[in-house]
Amino acid sequence: MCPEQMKPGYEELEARIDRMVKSLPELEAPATLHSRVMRAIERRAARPWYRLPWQAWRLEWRMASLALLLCAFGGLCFGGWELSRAAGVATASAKVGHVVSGFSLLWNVLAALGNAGCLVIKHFGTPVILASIVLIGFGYALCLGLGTLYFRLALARR
Amino acid sequence: MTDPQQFEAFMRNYQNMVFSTAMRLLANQTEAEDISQEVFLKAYERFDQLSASPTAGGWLKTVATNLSLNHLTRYRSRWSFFSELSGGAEGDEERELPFAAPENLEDELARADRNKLVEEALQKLPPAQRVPLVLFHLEGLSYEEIARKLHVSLGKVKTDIFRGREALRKRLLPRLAEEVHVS
Repeated sequence: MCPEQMKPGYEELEARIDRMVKSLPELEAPATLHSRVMRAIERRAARPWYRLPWQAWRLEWRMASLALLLCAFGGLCFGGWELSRAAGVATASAKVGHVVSGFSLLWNVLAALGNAGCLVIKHFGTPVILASIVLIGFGYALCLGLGTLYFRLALARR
Repeated sequence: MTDPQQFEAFMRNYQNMVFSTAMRLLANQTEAEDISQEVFLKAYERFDQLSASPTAGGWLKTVATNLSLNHLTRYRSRWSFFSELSGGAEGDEERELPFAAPENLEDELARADRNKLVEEALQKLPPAQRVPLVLFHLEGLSYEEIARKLHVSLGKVKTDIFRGREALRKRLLPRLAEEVHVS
């Protein structure tokens, strides 16, 4: 419970607001709502069958589409299996392996650069590193604070 | 197959309730109308079950509430974050005010056009206060249920509802006093 809710008289206020809000009559819906809904229903009814949700299709169409999808999936599986056994694929996979080994070389270069960076930072000493971290944190907090301020100013009620 | 005339009658019965639910959560007539349309399109899809159901009204209210909350989180998700951060655009103002017992509130309200004023005051509340307040007082949800629905902490729900009530009291008293003096 909020500390404010412990104050005397708060329960009374809560009960009165509850009565006031509950006694509000229903708001009258705009006159346009009814015609909008009926128009939207007509538009939906006029859609061609293939633009309806799958569950709304006729049973025979659903069965046919299911069978077609199963055939397509089976065909893909069979085709992939046949392809993996072809002689040309072995050559292609060797080529792919060669390209991937090129990435390991790139990784080694990046690791060497990273190590060099670490050595440079160590050379500067702990105070410089701490000052940099504080500066980055301050910059982040400043961006967040200014962003919040601008957002609140932009949304402020006039 | 749904009978259009039967559905029209069904819609006329419930359209004010659905629109009120959406309007009180969104405080925007155009958005409330869009949500109401969506609710009735969903109702049309399952009208076979709803037409004879005694709980159709409850179903429509729940769908209207959920769609309105989805709309708020989808299109106005930032209010929650900034409200959490700072107490909302009007939170600071309310926090500075001392708590005052609500003397003569109902008596004065009885003399003025109470419903109109309460409705206006509700709609002018920031969403972070209005939404939990409406869910608590009009939908009858508990604090815990509201926190789960809005994906916020229980403490935030209690604080926002408290601020909402205080803001309502603050908004209603001066205007009512003015009207009483004029009359």
